[in-house]
Amino acid sequence: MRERMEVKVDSLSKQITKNNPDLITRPVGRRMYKKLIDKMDIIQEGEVVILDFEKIKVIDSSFIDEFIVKLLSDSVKTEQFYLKLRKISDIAEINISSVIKSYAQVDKKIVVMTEDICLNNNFYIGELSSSEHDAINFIRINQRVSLEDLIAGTGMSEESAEKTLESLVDLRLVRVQDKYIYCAV
Amino acid sequence: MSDEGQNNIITIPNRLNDPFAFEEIISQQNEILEHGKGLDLSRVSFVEPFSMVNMLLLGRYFLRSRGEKLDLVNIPLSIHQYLSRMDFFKHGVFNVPEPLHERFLLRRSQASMRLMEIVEIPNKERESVRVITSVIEEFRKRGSQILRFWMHGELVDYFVTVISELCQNVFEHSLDSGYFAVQTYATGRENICRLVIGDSGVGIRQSFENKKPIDFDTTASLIEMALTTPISSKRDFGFGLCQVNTIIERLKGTVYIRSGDASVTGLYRNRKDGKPFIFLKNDLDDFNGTQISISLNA
Repeated sequence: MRERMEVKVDSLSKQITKNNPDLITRPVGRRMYKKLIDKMDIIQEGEVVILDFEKIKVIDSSFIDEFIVKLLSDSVKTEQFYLKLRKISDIAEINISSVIKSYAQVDKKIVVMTEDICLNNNFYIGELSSSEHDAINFIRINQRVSLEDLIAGTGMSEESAEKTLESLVDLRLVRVQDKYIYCAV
Repeated sequence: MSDEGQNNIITIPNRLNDPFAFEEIISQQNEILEHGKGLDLSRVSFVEPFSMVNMLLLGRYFLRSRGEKLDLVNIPLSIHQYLSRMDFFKHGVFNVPEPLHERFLLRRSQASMRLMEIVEIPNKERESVRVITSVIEEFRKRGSQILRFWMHGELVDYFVTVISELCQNVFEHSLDSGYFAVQTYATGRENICRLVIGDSGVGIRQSFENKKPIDFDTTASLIEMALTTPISSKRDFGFGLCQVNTIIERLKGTVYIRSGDASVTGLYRNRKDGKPFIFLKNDLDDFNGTQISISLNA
């Protein structure tokens, strides 16, 4: 079974913005979203969609709203896929982080995984609690862990570890396999 | 400042050299609108981008209210050359006695590419997106020249974000078209890069009052809130101005926002104790719309 679908954002955008390295404005975000959703028709349940931003320099808040935030919402709502970002520029990361913070202002928690280490020294953009942060790092390093592994590896109580894993699953930051194994996205 | 009688030619003081100094011109707005026929620029020795864009807004407002164009008279040659170079007259807002002879026009060479000529940002989404995209494409070509005193890897990218956010605010919030311009220029020992965007639309206060209930004391405190916290009148939550402010803070620049009868200045250049210098002003003379100046000094 295929587990990952890799999407070159640059190639996807060429059909809309020619060779522009910047993805800006809401209409462009909406068109890109629609194109990607069409492409994701073939996706299998639980697949990780990796958005590769190589060659893309700036993505602005409007684009992020219409493209990345919508995809993250879909991921949570439909539980069909997971989302991960790759090769995002510094300014793109700053902009994504700011947009995510603006959602946090109205108690909408959004976090997205990244393949590369970010300016914030994490492999995710967004705010996590310290236990969520420890857990996500533990799972990312070990790839597949059980509840017992997490408790042993981080020193969390069973109750805290359970809650933390539940929260990470809800945020679509870790996948559950075989009921009791938690895998990195 | 003005002659007696109707249809006056009003002399503009030499106050087009700084965004704060432009307040003096705004204080003459009513006189210009009610009694003006033209503006005498003979005393003007320097025009910076914020004042230039605001002059254009003033002229456009006059045209809309009176149905005729203001005359510009006694324009010093250097000012005429500069305004022509910035495409100031192409927007058809003023009557100008005679266009400059070709031999007086400033050359549009690679060396004079430390600027972006005035561009009108339409107030309709589709046209606006097209214009913003072309503005950014052009900025990518000239960015290294415009920002050459500040050059570091991602600076052009930071400015692309700023341009994108501010230009989109025009069509998303102001309900009017706006003007955009950038220039790097020297004054004394300092080099200044100034990016300006201004519109004569509904202004920040009305934009929020129309769409989103937010508690605020004064217009200036609302502008400060929009600048420092992620709120937006466009969506339930969001920012734009806040994002721009974050970037300018990072670049240790200055942001000046004037909207209606209020202004907010964010100075990040000389910050030493970690606290921003943000100055609020209320009860200024009313000037339609929102005008923003972003500056870097070197």
